Amino acid sequence: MGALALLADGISRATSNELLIATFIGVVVGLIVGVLPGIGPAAGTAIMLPVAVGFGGTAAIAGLAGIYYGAMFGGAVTSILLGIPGDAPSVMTVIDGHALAKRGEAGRALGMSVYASFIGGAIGIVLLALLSVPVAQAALAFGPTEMTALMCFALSLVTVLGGRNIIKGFTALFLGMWIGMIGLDPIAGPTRFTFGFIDLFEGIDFTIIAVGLYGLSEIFVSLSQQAAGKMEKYSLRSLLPNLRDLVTCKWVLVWSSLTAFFVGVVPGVGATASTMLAYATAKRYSRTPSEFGSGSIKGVAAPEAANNAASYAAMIPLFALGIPASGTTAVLLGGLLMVGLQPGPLLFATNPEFVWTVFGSFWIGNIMLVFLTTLLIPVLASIVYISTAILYPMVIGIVIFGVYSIHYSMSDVTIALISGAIGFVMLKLDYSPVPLVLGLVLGPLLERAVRRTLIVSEGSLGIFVQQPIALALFLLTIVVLALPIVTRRMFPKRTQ
Amino acid sequence: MTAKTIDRVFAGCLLVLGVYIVWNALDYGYMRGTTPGPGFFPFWVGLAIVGLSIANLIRSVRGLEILESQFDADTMSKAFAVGGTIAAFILVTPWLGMLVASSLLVPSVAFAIQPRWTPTFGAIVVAIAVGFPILCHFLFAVYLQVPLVRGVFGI
Repeated sequence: MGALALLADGISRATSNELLIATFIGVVVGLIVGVLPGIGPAAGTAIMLPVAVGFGGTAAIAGLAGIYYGAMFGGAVTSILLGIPGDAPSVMTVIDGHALAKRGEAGRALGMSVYASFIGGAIGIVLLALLSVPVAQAALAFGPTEMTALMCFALSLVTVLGGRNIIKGFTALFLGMWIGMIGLDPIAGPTRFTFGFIDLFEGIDFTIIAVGLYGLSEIFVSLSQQAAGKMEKYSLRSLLPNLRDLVTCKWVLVWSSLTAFFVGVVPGVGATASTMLAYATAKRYSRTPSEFGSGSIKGVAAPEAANNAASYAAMIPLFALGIPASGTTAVLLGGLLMVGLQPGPLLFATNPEFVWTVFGSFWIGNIMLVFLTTLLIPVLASIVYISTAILYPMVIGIVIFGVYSIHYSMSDVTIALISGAIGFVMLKLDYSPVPLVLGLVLGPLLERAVRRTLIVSEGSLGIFVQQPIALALFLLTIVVLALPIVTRRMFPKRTQ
Repeated sequence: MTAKTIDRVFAGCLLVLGVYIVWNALDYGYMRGTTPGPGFFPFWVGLAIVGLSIANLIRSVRGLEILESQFDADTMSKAFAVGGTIAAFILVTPWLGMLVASSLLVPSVAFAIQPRWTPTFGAIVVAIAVGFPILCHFLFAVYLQVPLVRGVFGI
């Protein structure tokens, strides 16, 4: 039987009452987890792990996976409405989603996030069914050298994401990379840049920085710009989604889903890096790149389709190889082991019914989320009607409780506040926070890959150009870095 | 202070940070035999920050930076007041506990944003100040089983 027929068979089995209930509970919890700033899908699945395992077997994994992709849907809500990323992969949605909400098009942005999440999810599930075994084997070909090249390529995207001042963009990128180095050295062991604080030994969680940098700094900037307690005025129409956007963004949705899926399948890269790549690609190939950052609907479509496609891509190394590609899939791996299943290539041979039923439940959950979130859009979008003097105290309170819940530490709240203050100054001084986040996510991955490669080659740099995949990626990086300079020289009027 | 001055101060701070990173990187060990040590990566990152900060400083001094934002007292006061309120929350939480402190945080932030209260607005804020900690208790402490910081009142 072909992969798609097996998937169809799995979908029909996933419509049993037990699995429908487990999937529904999972996606509802996931939506809540995604909406709450700070509590990402990894923490959400970890918290619900003991409860879900109680469902037993397939229902447990269907419920836990429901939390994962439910959080991917929910993460967009606070990103768009309040400028606060609900979880790490929804950081890129803040840029254009919140800009759309601020100009009175919250419903349109939320609608696009739902459609994009569904399309990204649907493409992700089909590709998961078709490619789970062959793509996982291809990902295994990515050794530290290829990872170094891939990370360099991803970091070169700062030329696209760095805002209008490229030097400040690169400064923010390296600042982010330094923040990513705080804590225990991943290879040799000693602590670095902890200033003697024990709380910093394990490093700074990306979500804390993202919540401070985007959430709190956005509130500070907003307060420094507008009149006291000013109530924003929006029409009822602004609360409704716009179906025509689907046609406008069709290629962005397909391309972002495909890109994110193939990037997200590489262990360690994850949904966050995939969304950044998808956003940068959408901006680069857009006919109107200047609209990105100031409320482009394509700027919402690309990251939202990408993070959902990538969340299914992360299931490939988990199910086919037993390798967790992210924090959330590590918890799912724990769930699989707790229900007595050993993920890996043998799982497809020994428990095919289980695997395809779980994949089928992904499809059911994806459809459930479309209905749930579409129904909620007008209610959620009406948040923008609330006066800032009433809304912000509650938002700040939720941010504080959410950040605290990550490690049960008030130090994290302090770090979020400091990040918010630094983010505020950076925004005022034209330093884009996006490269900082890019450096924070990809910096530690790059460091690990570079050092592992140099350990293998005993310090010889020649290894970086000896592998064909790595060489191709390095050449691509050079092209991406050189392109703005060449474009400026060749088309000075257009770049102005 | 003007935006230009703050831009230069910020670039100067980043320059100092870059030097600090390079200094510490050398201390951690650039190479260990033929393989890179814990200071290898920080060394290059620190060096990049130093170089870029100098470039930013030069651009600022030459007047090439065009900053549209303002840092005057009027536009900054609310942001500072809200930031200060959050800092105060962090300081009093170990003593009051998160729930009690959050019931004070809500009206304090509301006051920082809108100092003039109408009776209706005041009633809404008081309702939120009472309801918010209850909601957080059920959502975080009961539902998500997060061990919230307890204070002298035992909650």
